[in-house]
Amino acid sequence: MPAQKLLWLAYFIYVAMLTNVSQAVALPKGAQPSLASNYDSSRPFRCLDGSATIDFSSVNDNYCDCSDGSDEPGTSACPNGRFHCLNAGYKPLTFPSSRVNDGICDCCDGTDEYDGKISCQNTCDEVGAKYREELKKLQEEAEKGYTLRLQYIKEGLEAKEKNKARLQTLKANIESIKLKTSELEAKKNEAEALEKQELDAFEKKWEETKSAKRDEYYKSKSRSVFNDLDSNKDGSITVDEIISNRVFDTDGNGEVSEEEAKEVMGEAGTISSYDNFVTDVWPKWNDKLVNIKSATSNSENLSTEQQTPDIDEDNIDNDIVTEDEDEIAREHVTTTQEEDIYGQKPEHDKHLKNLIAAADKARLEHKTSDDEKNNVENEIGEIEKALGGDFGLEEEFAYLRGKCFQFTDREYTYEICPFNKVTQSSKSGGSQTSLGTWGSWIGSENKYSRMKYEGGQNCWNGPDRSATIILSCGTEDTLISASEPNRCEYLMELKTPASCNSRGDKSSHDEL
Amino acid sequence: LLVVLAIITVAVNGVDRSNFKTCSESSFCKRNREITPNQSPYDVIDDSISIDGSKINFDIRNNGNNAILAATITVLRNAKARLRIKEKDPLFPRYEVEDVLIKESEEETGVLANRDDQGIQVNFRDKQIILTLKPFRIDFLVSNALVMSVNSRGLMNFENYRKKPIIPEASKPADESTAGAAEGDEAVNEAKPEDVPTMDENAEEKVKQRDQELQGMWEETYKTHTDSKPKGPSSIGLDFSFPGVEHVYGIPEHADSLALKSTSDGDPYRLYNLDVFEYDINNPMALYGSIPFMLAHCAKSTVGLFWMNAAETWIDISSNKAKDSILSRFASMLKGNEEMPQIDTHWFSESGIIDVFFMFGPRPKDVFEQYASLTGPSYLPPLFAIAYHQSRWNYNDEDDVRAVDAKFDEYDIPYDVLWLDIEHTDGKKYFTWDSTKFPSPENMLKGLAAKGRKMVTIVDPHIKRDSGYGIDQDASSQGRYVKNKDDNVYEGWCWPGSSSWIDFINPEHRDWWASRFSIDNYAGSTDSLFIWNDMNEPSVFNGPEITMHKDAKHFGDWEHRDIHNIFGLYVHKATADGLIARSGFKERPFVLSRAFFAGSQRFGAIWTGDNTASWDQLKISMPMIMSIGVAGLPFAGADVGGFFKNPDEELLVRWYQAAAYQPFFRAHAHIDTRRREPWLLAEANMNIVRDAIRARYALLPFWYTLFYHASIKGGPIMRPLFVEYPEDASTFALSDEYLIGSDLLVKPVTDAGASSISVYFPGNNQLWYDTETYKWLTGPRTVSMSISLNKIPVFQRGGSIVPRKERIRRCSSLMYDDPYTLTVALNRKGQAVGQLYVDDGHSFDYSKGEFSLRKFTFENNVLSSRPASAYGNYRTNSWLEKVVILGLKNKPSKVSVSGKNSTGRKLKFKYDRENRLLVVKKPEVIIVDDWEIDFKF
Repeated sequence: MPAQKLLWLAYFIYVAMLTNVSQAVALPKGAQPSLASNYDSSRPFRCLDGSATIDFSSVNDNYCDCSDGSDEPGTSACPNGRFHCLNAGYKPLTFPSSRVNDGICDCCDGTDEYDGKISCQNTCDEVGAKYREELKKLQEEAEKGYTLRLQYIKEGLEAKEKNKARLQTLKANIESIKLKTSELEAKKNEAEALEKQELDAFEKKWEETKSAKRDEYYKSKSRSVFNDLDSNKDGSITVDEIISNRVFDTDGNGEVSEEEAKEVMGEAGTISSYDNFVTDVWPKWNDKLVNIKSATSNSENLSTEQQTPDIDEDNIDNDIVTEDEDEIAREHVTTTQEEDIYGQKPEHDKHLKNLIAAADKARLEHKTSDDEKNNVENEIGEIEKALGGDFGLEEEFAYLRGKCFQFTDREYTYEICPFNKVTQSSKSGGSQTSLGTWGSWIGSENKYSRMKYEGGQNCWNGPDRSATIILSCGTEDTLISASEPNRCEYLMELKTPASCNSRGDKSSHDEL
Repeated sequence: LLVVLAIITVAVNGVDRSNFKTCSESSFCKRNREITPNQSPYDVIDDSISIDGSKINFDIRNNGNNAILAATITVLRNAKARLRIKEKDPLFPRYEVEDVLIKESEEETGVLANRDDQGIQVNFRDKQIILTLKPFRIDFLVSNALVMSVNSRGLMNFENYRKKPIIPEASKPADESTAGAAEGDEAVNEAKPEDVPTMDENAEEKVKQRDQELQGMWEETYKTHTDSKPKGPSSIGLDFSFPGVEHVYGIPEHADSLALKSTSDGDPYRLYNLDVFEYDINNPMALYGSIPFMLAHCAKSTVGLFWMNAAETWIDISSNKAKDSILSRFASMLKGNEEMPQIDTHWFSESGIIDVFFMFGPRPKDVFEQYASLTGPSYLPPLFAIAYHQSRWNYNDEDDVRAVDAKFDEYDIPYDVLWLDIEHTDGKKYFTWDSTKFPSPENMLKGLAAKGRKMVTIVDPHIKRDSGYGIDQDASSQGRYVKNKDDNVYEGWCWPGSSSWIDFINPEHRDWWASRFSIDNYAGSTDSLFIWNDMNEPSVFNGPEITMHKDAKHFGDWEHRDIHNIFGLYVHKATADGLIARSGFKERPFVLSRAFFAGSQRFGAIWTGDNTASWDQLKISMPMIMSIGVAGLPFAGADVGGFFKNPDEELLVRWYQAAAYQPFFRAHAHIDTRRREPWLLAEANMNIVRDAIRARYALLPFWYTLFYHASIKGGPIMRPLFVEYPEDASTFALSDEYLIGSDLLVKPVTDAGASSISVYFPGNNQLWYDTETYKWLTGPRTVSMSISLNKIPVFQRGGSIVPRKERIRRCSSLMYDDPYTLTVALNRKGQAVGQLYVDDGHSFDYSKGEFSLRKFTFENNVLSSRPASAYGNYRTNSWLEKVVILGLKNKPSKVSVSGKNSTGRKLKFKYDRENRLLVVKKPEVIIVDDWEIDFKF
């Protein structure tokens, strides 16, 4: 401690010598040592702004004579006066002279309070020790951070060079890849044209076969359906016989009304013969009648009266058979039936198989080349973006790309992914809220001291969310606070070695 | 496009008027407004009249239904009279306002009453009261001039309580009719229809109409809310005319002009304390507070009217010619002056009694004093309360508070009080703190107090229903909540969600509430914590018109309809009483309230509620604060910058400049707005704001002296010009400039981009000095002057002496010992006078004589200090550091001071011939001593 005091003393002697004042003790109360030469008690005092010259006895006489307040550094008389305390053992302090003799100890040496209202203890040693300790810690941190920063700069610059080189390579390659891709595309198109031609012919032929077989089948079915419907086997079909068949329930209300029956049979009310059936009823109803017939014949274990559709055996939960399952059951029946009617679809012949294989190969080759082209283009885009981005004067912030940092308070977890986005998520769950995507550097004196993220999720009745990140020197990357000082405008503090601008820099810690 | 935008803006912003009743949606308003004039059914019963000293008692018969009313006219001391009319034999008791009058008014002596065939004539001093019997009418004469008439238009109405008539089954509405009737079924079964027009069975329309009227009388539905009206119709109304008058003022609170407008083309002015979201300006809609006091003023006379009723009240105002309603016996007064103007007013309230005070002036200040003798003068606030307040919804946590506090010091801007809005609480449970955001409120408060600063927290009258919350527990178990019509606890929705309201009508509940503010009961509080009562209209988010149901029940079986407008006053009073009790009855309280009533001036400050950041709202803040001041409540202000929305920098700067010269000076903002503390402005603008706030601090001694006078004599501090220049008709409608006291004329700049401003300087041959440039102007005339953003047009009256403390510190208490500067502005005769009130700035000791009231006089080239009051012996060390004399034509050869310890001590001085300005250095006499400064030429 005594050593410290000596140092401070030495400092003041040094200052006194600099300003060439033989009687440093005569410096008026509250005046700044650097201005000492202006306060010469043997001469009238000239206000520092030159606005007036007054008797020296008017200096610090508790009345404001100078418009700049320079005659009253040690009293509260001037509205714009500045009081300076030496605070030996700590650091000097200058503040508005309205704080002189206001009953609050502002200087650790207590010199701002001298009218007896309050007695201030000299706490400078104590405060100074704490300050120096804090300062030391900060300096150590700054030092450590600065070393890391140098490393990041090195890495950043190297990565930048690497990127540049890589970009060059990629750009050189991209044209040949593009050419190759378009050649392969032409080949693919050619193969596909041949393939399509043959496939179309094959399908067309199969459709024709199916059509013929269907006609034949329906014709053969018409008789058996007629016989089924003609339950009393009298060669004609009556309304009752129609009503008992649910196929004719066109409105789907579960029963066949007389109206619905008449729709089938016409106003006459009977179908008098098989011939009439084939000409008047069959063309309109054959799809349904064919199905129903098959259904009843495929499920002989069910009585003919039972109107409930077939139930898949796997479905054990009989009580909750739904309409949907009903549909599925019918569809299943229909598919089974198709094969009955048409038989198996024939296989492709060898020629066609070869064409398809050739086309498949051409497709694959083109895709591979196209993927390669896209990848290279993407990479070029990424690198150009990276090279175009602003990661500090010396690329010191580049290493933060792709990293994310979190801070959690009582309610939320905040996450910043530098140069990408800022988000907020509630600890109690729920979706993530965007607080903004990377905008720009907005520091005022040091551009790289603040980041702005903009265009986040819109606030009800308000602006889009945005976030400002204050960066400061730290030994590691940590998000240390997050708050919302204005509605939907977030403020966060990120400590990072990248912001340790110089070895032992303390300019930003003067307030401590 | 602009037009379209404007329409959209109007549609999106501003008040939702459909939330609030128009007159036609209020059945009693409609009934009273539809009364046909000049057919009054009310006659004084001849043989009922008795005269008892200063009292005249008589009965009034309603010839329509033969109901009898009991009336009393009392002549009161100091040029006042009171008229009370009640039901002679009411079916239910009628509510009579309590706790508003400060004492039983003293009756006038030497009152002479004579009877003649037409009525009674009462003479006292230079005044006469003439009571006409048929129909009932009263006329007041001052110095033989008719100044006021009562029921001269025959609009009197007294709906006596009655039994509910039987409503024919067929005409009942289909829904809920049984439920409604069940309420008072005894009445339904036994009652005979009374006051119900005979039914014309053929006219279905008439039946319908009659039923609708009956519906309004016995039940009234507004939006989704039904008022059960168990006692039926009960409104009262009376008309008052002011012959010779073209300007009436007062009846706050309305966002309207200072001189009240005719209501002929729209709704009447409404008094019904309401929480109006984003209120609109220039209309008669009700707002947060109500003072049923009106000032009627003309060049010759000034009278006041106080309608003491706490129920919903409407007031119609119209211009008329006196001859149309003058009584024949006064006709002679109008000879040759038949076009004498007149203002007619018609007042009606939903329940209660007719209880009216008349104040006869003859000048505005006399009426203010007369009104103050009834409802009390303003309280004397502690000094910090008239300094600058920094508020926002919300300062988030203790770090935020510390940071804001530190910023003020960093930018050397003084402030006295930091405010915490509802978010500081644990879940909107008042008297609690959010323990995460405010873990150590006592330390926080002590940190502020170490620099002499205070804090205000919000405490609203709605209590969160939460069995884990002590206040709710106690209020529930001790039965302190307002009840609903079914005698269960009334519940509604407010900030905390489901809430109930302490029944402040009950004095015991008020005492209990007051005791909540003791340091022990209010955990985390200290004696530097003060209180803000918001939402005390009361605001009920899901209630009719965002307030309490009128059929809710209070102490004494009163319905909410009877006491609505006084509810907020009781909250305010109980809170202020709590702070006083907290200090062992030593310290003056500070409580800000949003709702108010006649008498609220005794309990603290009020503000104009949730205004909006716009130039129009800055403009309207002046007539609003002045109207409230005229009605006896001087300690009022508007949120600086506007509560809703974001002001641009120019608007914020201009608002600070205006509010620095208004009584209650607080910046406040909605939670959705951007931060706007002064240092967030561009540096140049921040400096202007800083200068404005510092100018306020310098003038605190001047303001404090005015507050002291208001605490003795009442009246406004921010005064309309007509108050000081009552004969100058060009001031009668002026509200964009005003006087602080009588000596500083202020014309705030309230237009965007203003580069010049036109100022009216009143007073014949009256000198006015620009407080910044010291240039002088002579009234009466209007002068246009160019201005820049940093200019606040403020002028000191020639003939006045204004005290200042020019050492601006971090807050007002740190300036306590500081020396004074006196600015002596000479009149044409080279004279000036001024006063200074000094006390400790915070305690009640002043009421025991611990104050000093000084009078400074400049006359015959001597500036002297003498006591202005026989009482008061307060000592201070504050001395006189500077005397500035404005308008001194010659340079003195010698200036010397004589005081307690010295005689003829020579003083240094500087004279500026061009500006006729003399500055005297350091007289160094104690300000409260007797001394003289002698100027030799």
